[in-house]
Formats: sequence, structure tokens, C-alpha cells
Amino acid sequence: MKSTFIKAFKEVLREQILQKNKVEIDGFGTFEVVHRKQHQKTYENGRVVMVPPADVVEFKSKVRRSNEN
Amino acid sequence: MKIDRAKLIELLVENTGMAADEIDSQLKQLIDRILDAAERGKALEIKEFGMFYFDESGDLKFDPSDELSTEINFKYAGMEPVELKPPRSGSDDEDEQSDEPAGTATGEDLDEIFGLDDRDDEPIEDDAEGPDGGALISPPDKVDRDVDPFSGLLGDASSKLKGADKPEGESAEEPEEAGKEEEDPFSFILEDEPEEPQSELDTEESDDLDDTEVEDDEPLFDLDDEVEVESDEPPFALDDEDESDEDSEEFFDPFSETDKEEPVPMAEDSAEEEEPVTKSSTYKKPKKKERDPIMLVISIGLIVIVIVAALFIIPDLFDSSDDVSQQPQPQAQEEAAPPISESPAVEEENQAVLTPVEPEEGSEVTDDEPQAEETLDQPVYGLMGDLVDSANNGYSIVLHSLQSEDRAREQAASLAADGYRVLVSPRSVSGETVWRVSVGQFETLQNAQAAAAELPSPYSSNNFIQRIQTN
Repeated sequence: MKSTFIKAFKEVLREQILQKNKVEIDGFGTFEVVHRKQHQKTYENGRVVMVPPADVVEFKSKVRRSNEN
Repeated sequence: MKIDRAKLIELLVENTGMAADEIDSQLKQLIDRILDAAERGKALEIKEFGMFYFDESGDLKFDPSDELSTEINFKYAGMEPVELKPPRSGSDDEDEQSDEPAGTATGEDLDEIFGLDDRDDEPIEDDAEGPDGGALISPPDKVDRDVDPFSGLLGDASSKLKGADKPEGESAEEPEEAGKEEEDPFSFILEDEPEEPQSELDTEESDDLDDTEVEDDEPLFDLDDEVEVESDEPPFALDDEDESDEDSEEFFDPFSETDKEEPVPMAEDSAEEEEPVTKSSTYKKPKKKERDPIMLVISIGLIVIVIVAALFIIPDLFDSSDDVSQQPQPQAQEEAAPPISESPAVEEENQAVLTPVEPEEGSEVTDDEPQAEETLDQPVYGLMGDLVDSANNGYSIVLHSLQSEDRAREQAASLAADGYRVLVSPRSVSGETVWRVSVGQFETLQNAQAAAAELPSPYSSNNFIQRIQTN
């Protein structure tokens, strides 16, 4: 496996994800940017925290471990 | 737009210049390798991209690297969780948390905090609503036990609970307990401060520093990076919720400092307001009055003695200090000075100088570190000057994105003439190559954003920030 390929792979995926494109590699999974709304989190000790909005990468895959023990 | 495998291969061919079938086999190899490592219970990490592994339930998971997630999240960079309500002081030991959203969602407050409208519509707890975000959370039975007439007037939930948690008739001990309560938030902060560098931004910076010279030569993809993960108990949190919770907890610290200070003055107030009325004042004040004349005489005598002593000692001091030039040796003065009336002033001054410094260090821990690094590395990162190769792991402000290389070079030359660090880099955007002219090399997204805001007018509003990529 060539390092130029790995580098290009990272770069292309990053560019595409940044452009909010969904990258689907069959047999592997999909990369997608998901927006998380701002929300409040309440702790049991009464602390309430406002969590800011965020864009996060989400990877979904149907691949499952085959030799599950 | 959806990028499927064929489109991805197309883009990769464009990027590398390799043949399509070669790319296809390379991609297969990569996927096989990731899956193979994952099958063996290991996590395979692609540097500056992320880590692939199987989680407990056997699903393939991907953890984006800090670089990637920071870049994806560029719109909200610098936004950190804000504490709206401090923890109830009575239940400090309960650190577990519930995910159920609740609280005091007064919309104006939230908009003020983030300047955004996209908050969740969440159920609002009826009895958790207070005029200023505080108050009234305490369970009714505790309120009933609250004997103290004054804590209720303060309208501060924490002070109420403090009073409520104590058995009746212990009001005499309140100052001590109040003191403990006051110290607690600080000790909590101190314990947590070392953890702060683990927050996302900081780690990212440190990663960047570590990687400064790695860019081109090191293998981008080495198996040494495979992290041993025992299949049943992986070292990292596989549960998304847990992880985000940990992260956010670390994030809160800077805020918890500021917010926790609020209850402290209240506690002081309550101690001051309650105590004089109940016991201490009634006993102490009369005593003071009786002693007053004696104290007066004694204190006058002391003052006279001190003045006389000072008259004798000060000239000596000046004599000796003239030789050594007084200012650089405040220590000598302090050592000699204690008996002198001036010395407390000197010491007070020193303390006054020292004390404000300490809280600043404490409160700005997160900010200080990058600043310190910056000042050290100032030639490395910055907006103006010459390009520094080792700063190519950072961020740059894109001012022009042009389709012709010549025009990009022209723009770059004119910007370089103005003294900026200029980078010209080709990127392929939706199949076309564009030439991006960017200025500055910045260690962090935040620094880049700050610098972008101060650019001259056409650029200050019309720019975006990208990671520097050298090919």
C-alpha cells in the first residue's frame, strides 16, 4: 500500500466530508457530517450545562465482527 | 452530494495521478487491512484522520482524529459548554449524571450565550424555573427543615441547601461549614486543572507540535500505530455517551470556575448576615467595649515604640541600601524590616502584587498555554513575515480562490509585497482545480480566526480558514 495513496485517501475524504458530502464505500461504510444541536445537559447533582452546537463526523458501517467469541 | 465508490476512486485518481485500477486495489487493500486489524481486536489508526475498530457489540466504529473533528467543526470552533446552574452543594458526591434534558431554558438567555436560534425544544421543568437561573430546586422536605430565616431571603439555592442539610440548632457552626463550602469549589478546580490540557483544543495543539516535523518523511501509515485493544475491554470508551460526557466534563472546568464563584460570595454574605445576629456578635461586642480603653493605651504605646524604633533603624537601612541600590533587593528590606512600621506596608504591597497574579494564572490556564507557546514560537507561526516550513502543520486564512494559477500567483505576489506570509495551494473542488491564496501560518484555528478578523476590510469578512496542506 503506497503512502501517496493513504495521503490522497485522507485528503480526498477530508475535502469531501468538509463539503458536507456523504462518502459511501460499499463493503465498508459511510462517512457523513452530522450537526448536533445545542442542548442542555442536566447532571444529577443539579448542574445544568449548555452544550454548544457542533458538526461531527459520523461513520456508519454494516460490517460486523465475524469471529465473535 | 453523495460520493460513492466509483466517484471516490475518480477523485483519488485525480489527486494521485495513479491509474484507476491501481487505486481500486489500493482501496481494497486499505479496507482489508482496517477490517483485518479490527478482526484481531486491534484499532487501526490513520494519522491525522482517525481510528477504526470494532466496538463491544461487534460493530465497526470510527473515531475521527482531533485534527479532523476540529476541522469539521470549524463553524463552532471556540464554543465551549457553559454552565447555567452550578451543582447543588448538598450532593457533591454524586457525580453521575442523567441525560434527560431539563432545566431553565429561558430562550433569551440561551440566545445571548450562543447567539443562535437552533436550540432543542426541550421539556421545561416547572419547578426548576427561577428568575436568574437559580433557586427553588431544593426538594420540599429540605425546605421545610430550613430553619434559617435569612438564607431564604438570599434567594440562592445553594445557600438554602447548605442550611437545609444541617440538623437544627447547629447554626453556631455555620461559619466553619460555610468556610468549608467555600473552599470546596476551589479544591475541586485545582484537582481538575491538570486535566484541562486534555480538552480537545489543547490536545490538538500539542499534537500539532509533536507532528511538526513528521509531515512528509515518516510513513503515514504504519502498523506500529495499531493500538492493542483487547476485544472485550478496549482502552477507550466505546460508548459514545460516556466519551462525550467525559469530554464535556473537562470542558466545563473553565466555566465552573467563573460560575462557582457566585455561590461563594453568597455564602459569605449569609455567614456574615446570619452570624452577627445570632450569637457571636452578642458576646463579642460588649467585650470589645470593655477592653477599648486598655487596648487604646496599649496600642498607642506600641505605636510610639514602633515609631521610635523606626527612627533609629530607618537611617541605618537607608545607609546600607544606598550602597546596594534599594529596589533590586526587596528581600533584604523585608528581612530587616519586620519590626518597623513601614514593613507591613511593604509586605502588603508585595502580597497585593502577588495575589492578583495567582488567580489570573488559575483562571486562564487554558489560554495561557497556547499564548506562551506562541511567544516562544513566534517566528514559527504568524500572519506576517516569511513562510516557515515547520509551521505547515497549522492553519491558514484563504483570501482568494482562483481558477487560474497565474492570477493566483499575481495575488500572492501583491500580498507578499504587503508583508504577509503567502501560501498558494491547488485544491480540487468538485472536479475542478482551484488555486487558493492564503496568508499566515497559525498553530490553531482560534489564532487564525482572531487574525482573520483583523485583516484589512475587503478580507476581514471575506475569507475562510483551511488546514495547510503541502503536496
